[in-house]
Amino acid sequence: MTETTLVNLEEYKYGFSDPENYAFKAEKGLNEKIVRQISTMKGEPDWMLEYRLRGYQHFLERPMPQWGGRGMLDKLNFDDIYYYIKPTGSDKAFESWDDVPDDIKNTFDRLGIPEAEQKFLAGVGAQYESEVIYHSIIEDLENKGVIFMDMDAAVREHPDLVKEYFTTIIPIEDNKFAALNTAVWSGGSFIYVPPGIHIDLPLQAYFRINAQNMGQFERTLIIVDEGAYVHYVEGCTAPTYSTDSLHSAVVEIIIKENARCRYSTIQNWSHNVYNLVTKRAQAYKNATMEWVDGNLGSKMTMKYPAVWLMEEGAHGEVLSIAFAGKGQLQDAGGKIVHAAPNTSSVITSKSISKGGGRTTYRGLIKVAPGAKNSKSNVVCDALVLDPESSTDTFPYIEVEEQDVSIGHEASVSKVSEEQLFYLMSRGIPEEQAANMIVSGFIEPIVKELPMEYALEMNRLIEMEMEGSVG
Amino acid sequence: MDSMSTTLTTPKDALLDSGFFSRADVEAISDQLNEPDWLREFRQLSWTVFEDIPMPTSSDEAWRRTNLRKIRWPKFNITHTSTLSPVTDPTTLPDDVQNALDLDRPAAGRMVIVNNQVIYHELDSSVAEKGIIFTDLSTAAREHTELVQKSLGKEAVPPSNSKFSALNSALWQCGIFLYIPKGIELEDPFQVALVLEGEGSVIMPRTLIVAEQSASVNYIEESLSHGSHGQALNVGVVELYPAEDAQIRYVDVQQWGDDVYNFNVKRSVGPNDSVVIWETGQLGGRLTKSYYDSLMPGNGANVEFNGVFFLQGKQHLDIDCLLRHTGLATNADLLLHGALKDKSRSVFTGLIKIDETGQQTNSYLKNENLMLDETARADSIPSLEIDANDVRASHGATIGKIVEEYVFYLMSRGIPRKTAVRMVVEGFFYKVFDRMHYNRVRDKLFNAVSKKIGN
Repeated sequence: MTETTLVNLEEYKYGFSDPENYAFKAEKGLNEKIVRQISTMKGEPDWMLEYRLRGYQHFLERPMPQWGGRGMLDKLNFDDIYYYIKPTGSDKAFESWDDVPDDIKNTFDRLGIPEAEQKFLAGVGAQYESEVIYHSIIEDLENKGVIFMDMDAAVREHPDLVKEYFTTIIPIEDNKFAALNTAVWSGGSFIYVPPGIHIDLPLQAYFRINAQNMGQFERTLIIVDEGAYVHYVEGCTAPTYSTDSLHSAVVEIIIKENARCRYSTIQNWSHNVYNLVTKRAQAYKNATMEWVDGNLGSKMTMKYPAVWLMEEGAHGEVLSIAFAGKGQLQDAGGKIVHAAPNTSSVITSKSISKGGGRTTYRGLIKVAPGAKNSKSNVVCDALVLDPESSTDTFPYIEVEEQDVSIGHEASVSKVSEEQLFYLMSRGIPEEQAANMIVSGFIEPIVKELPMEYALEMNRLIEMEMEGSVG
Repeated sequence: MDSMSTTLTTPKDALLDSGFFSRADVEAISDQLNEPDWLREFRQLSWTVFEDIPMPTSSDEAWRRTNLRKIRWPKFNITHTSTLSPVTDPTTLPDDVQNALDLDRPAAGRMVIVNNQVIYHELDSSVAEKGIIFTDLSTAAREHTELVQKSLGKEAVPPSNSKFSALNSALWQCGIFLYIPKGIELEDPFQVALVLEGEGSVIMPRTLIVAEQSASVNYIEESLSHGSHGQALNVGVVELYPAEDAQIRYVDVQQWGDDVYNFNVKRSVGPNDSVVIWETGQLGGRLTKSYYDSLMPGNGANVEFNGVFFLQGKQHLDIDCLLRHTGLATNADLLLHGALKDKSRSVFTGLIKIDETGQQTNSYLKNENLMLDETARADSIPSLEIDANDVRASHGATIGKIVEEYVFYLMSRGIPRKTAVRMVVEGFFYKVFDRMHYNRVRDKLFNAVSKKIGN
């Protein structure tokens, strides 16, 4: 392989950008005026403005986390970021695909969205900049009473429902970045699945950052009512830019009795994005929450999807894959809080570091007093592909109950010489053999993704693996 | 000290402000022990470092789970002397101290330190002939100055290591110096008893073990409280320096009384092909924060750690282990099993850190916790920080209760439930006991554990 092709492959695949064309662009930096402006632009009720101002206040007061990617975090300049951008034409609702502006369509084309939609999309909430501009809900879902819309619209159309749950899972003062999100959030998805409704096809949304220095602060709220089921898929791709961008989302999920929710993410921001996300679900009686979390892109990611097992029989799962290439830090993991008896959880984490990248598994298993017969198992495996790369594992286990069974194991290794030798002895070139071993390593998680995402995940890993051998 | 007088700008240092010692004590100790200049300077420097390092608080990651705020520091008395006077015949020592010395089993040497005084010391003459030095540290500092100066407070535990290591470095009065010349291998252990006696008593022992090339030595230390005393304090520092191809086995049986606050920094530095073996049983004390750090800068250095703990009542134990792999092809294997009763609490932090240069490392760390009561609490934080790729590193942690299937099986064989439970708990500890070297240590730990299981 020549050097030129290698360089091209290492280039960010979706690293194109469309000419910027905005109806409104707030000034860089953040102050109370901008927070108020965002709320006014969106025509929000007073309570939401109050939440935003509380969030802003706490964001100012709360110190930067002193752990994780501290060195990188300190370089984040909050004054050099746009906190709200509204694209042209977003005032109108696009009833059909034909009405969507060409340059935006073009973007989606290159991301492969329309085909995916034709195949098995239940609905598309595609986020372009801070505003959801295209949204289609299959009539069938509407008839069942499912609500799937962007968060801004939900505040307007279902204010009572939103107000009942908004910030109840992740309080405004939970952490610095959740507070920031509360202050300036824009877009994101709102989903309500009525009792007993089983949505067979995954709901999907594509996110995309497209303005230099712009922050993306989606806010997602999912309510799965008794006995219902939903699988939500979030995928991110972003163009490469020269200055740092910030992505700080908040996702809140409530899963009621006997309900089940799966939330899958493939995070593939360009390598200059700070990705600081708070995701938490509360699972009630016999409910199940599953996070499938793939982190490939970004400059640094700090994300630990959490499940609070609130009532008996609740079950939580986190499946996490991280890939860190040159200059990247993937600080990911999962948190489970056993707050009720007879609850169970599993965390499986696989991470790969290469070319000087660093992966960190950071997790928490907490068993509260009285949460009898809690069972939890955590398995973390890390693969380090070259001497420049590194990996960390920080699992926190806190148990305040006797009647429990908690297990944690982690291992770090390189690509096994024996496996490589075996494959090569069968005539498979070294690079392809290494690819196969890495694919096998992450397979337990990839197989949990919907087909097209699994394919994309494998393709992305293959691209990242180019030139890693020899 | 009046808390009102503390200004807001200077963070409060409860230990420094406690008034149970001061800079004047540092000089007084040097005068009293007739110390050489370099050691006086070392103490003075250590004191400055101690003043500079802020008191750890719950916002420091390593101290997040161990709260020092309830300790009434002013109640301690650094000059508290013991009622036990020095003896030449060990059989005249109190039974509990005799027991700690295992007089019925062979030993290369024995020493007893009570509070701030050595009250018994013996060294087998055949051992002394080999050039082995086993003496109290201040004597060694005068008589074997070069050997002591070369190692004391150097790579293993410099004063700057931490607040408590700086305190020990400034104020230690009794210590142990053990030196094994090149090529000497000794099977019989050196046995030391550290004793606290009296209300408010303080012990700050300093242990320095140096084994020259290809030498091998075993050291067993037991800590205990003589008689019932109120609040007491231990601030210990241990430094292990094996040379190339040398082996040091360091065993400690911690049986402090119920009201002892116990702080330790124990670190080893392993050059090429060296072996360090830690064996520990943590049974006593009110609150313990102990570091067992193994540095492996040398190629092919080895470390093994076998530990057990058993907590009851309101005991709080915080064990912090570091396995640091810097050299090429180093190996480490750590196993810690603990059981918790009543309202006790354990914290285990275990870090495997592999530097870029630590290729071909093989490292394993495991912590298992057995919860015997609903009110107990166990935190386990095994971590990995890996900067090399050609390595094998793994860790595991479990927290659980007694496996009922085992109990059921034993009961089906006609064993009463109580006995069955006891057997299962003992079996849990045997996984570690089996890796321990001395029967005397195993027996001691087994009996202590057995007693703690109760009925």
